[in-house]
Amino acid sequence: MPGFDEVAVGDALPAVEQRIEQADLVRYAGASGDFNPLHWEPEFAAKVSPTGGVIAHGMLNMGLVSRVVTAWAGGPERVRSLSASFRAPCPVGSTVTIGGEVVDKDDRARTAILQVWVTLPDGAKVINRRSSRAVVQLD
Amino acid sequence: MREYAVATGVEDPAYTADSAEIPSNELIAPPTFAACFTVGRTDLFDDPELGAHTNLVHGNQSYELHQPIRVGSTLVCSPQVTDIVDRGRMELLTLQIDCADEATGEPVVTSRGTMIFFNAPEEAD
Repeated sequence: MPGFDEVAVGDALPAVEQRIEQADLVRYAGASGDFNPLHWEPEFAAKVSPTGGVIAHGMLNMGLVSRVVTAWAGGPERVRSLSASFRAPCPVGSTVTIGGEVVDKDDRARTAILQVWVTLPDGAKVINRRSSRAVVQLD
Repeated sequence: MREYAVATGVEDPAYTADSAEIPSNELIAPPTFAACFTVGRTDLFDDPELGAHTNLVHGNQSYELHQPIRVGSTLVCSPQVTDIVDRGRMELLTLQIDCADEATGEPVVTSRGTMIFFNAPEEAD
């Protein structure tokens, strides 16, 4: 985990790529209790999905961001807040890139403020960085 | 909590280790774990007067963590509708849910989230 004085505005978190399969959505539905059929039933998704097909839970993508930020921060107790703005749908089978960048520091609170995001290979913003943030407590 | 950690790709051995090695009561929840009781297993939308339905997507979500969520604690969660916006084809419902430790009364996590409900064309204003 980085110390407060070692962190600079502009520092990037190591980007993580991950393919999201139907099994991941089923596992997330079971763990979180979010059984909206949009995330597992193709017939239902065909009627209501913006893509016409099954898409990932927004909260699964936010959970992936949480995992990446927590790993950088050095533990879940260091994450003070996390916000996500869900923009583009994330079709099942997509490979997403999860990223973050330090955009500000609070000297008094000794926190780093990060923009965080999830993108698809075509650049579509699943979690839009401009309106998605993490605040991390550092030593 | 272990299932949620695995489902979101957490590789921290604290969650994947044998529970005999790392007792569950020493675990701290992943920062977005509150999704399980503020987004997932929620009956908040069951009130028929609310007019909610399953044709919805999540617009945005935030968690403010006042202290870690620990195994064994009981949280009292107080939901409040903070905004409703009618855009005809879609309606935006924003909820704030304040979760406090039942034993101490101290705030643990504040959830704020907006759900977007899509209305069928014949139902739209």
